[in-house]
Amino acid sequence: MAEEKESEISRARQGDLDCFNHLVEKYQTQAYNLALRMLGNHYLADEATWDAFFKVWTGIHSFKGRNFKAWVLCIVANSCRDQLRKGKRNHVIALEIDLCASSDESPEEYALRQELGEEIQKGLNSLHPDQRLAVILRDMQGLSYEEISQVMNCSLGTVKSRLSRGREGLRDHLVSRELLGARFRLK
Amino acid sequence: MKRKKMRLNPFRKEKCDKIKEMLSSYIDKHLSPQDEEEVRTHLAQCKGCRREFESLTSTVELLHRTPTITPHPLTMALPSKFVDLLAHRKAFPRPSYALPATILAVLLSGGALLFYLNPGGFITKPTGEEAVEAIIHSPVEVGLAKSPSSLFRVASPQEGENLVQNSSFEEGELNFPYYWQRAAIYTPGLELSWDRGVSHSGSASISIRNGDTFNLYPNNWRQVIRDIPINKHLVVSGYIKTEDLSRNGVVAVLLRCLNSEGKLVEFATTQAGWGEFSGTRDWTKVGADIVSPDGTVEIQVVALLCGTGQVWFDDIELIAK
Repeated sequence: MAEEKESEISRARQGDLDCFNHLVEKYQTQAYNLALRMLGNHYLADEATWDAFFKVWTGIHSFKGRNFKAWVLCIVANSCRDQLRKGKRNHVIALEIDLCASSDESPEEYALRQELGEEIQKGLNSLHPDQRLAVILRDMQGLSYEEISQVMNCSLGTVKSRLSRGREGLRDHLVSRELLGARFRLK
Repeated sequence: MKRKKMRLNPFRKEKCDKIKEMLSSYIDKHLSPQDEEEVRTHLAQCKGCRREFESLTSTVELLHRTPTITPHPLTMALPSKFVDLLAHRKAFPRPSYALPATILAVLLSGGALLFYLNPGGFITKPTGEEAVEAIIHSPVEVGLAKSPSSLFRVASPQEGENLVQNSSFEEGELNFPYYWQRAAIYTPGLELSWDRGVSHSGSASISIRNGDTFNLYPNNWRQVIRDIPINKHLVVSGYIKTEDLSRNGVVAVLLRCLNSEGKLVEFATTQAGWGEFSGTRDWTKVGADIVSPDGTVEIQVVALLCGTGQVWFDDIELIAK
């Protein structure tokens, strides 16, 4: 951890709001996106992000780890689990993931991209929450295996296993919807 | 001629299963050099595993292409303001009889409100900076004073005196009850009105009606009271009635203590729980209390709706104990 960051966290821990606000500013987009992909719904993601940052503030005194980002994302993930436990998924509205468009896209490609976005979120929703979390953290947020193991509070081996299962599950979902190319279709 | 039945070599199947287990880590280059070489060699020889590998790679590439969503500016601002509020609460602790539920409510929603209502506070720098600016500088419409004195009255509270002028909204002219101001981001579907047909007592109340699901700003009616003596125990109360309020809607009467720099030094809300007024509810009494801390020069009494639906407020009082 960079010295500057460490001192920022330490000052936030002593109640320096500017420092804490700076940390919030730094991580809120990532936190929000994690919640959004986990829950598939903007409203629930708002709630989970709020809840998480409140816990970060009240629990910052107890932060003794080395990776602040992983600690924050761990709290966000727990908030998402709480939301899922509350059964709020009943209210989930499918979130369209808008894939980044290429510049020379045809209408057919655009339609396919839209469908892909929807199906990716559906595929994520169909995964076990632990597998979903691993896939989001690795493939959408670019965390290292070590960071994921800190967020998920599990061993590297477990990270690999959850990630592998999650990717396979998502791949199978996309293939079954014929969105991953004919050559990948299941026999 | 009888065709010979193809049978998968059990040793080969075992090998393929082992390789498939490693494909995900192989994609991430997270295998030992020996394992990596084993996978590479196998993929060169086995069409089935190669197809498995390519499909997984395509899936991962698709995920890499999903963009980061920028949260709504309000969402981005919330945690910061929320903390601002908590810090004030810590610096100026409430009396021990403060309701935990009130604190909870503040935690759940107060930040959003404060973000709007505390222009002197911290502002994040979201992509939608303009939208945030719009909230901070949202127009506060000048209200009407009954007498030639300032709209912002100077208070010298006596024990038990109600500091809010025109509490029951009975007096006013044009579309304004005296002493009250409107502060809102107007979009089609939003209306702040002086309602002379609905009331808890007397014949009038104030109302906020919002049909715009994208207007989730804390639109409000407010009264500003200046020169409040410090360290006074103040109790705010009022009556709220709602109709078709959204599930996530926030309805509350807030008290805000500001210092001479316009900075928030203490805060209270009547909101006692998340979604407590959602749906339709008849007149319900709400209340909160506060001790005006050192440096308070102004108190704002704010009646607000953040959500969709309609709310009426009546008999809003601020009593100095």
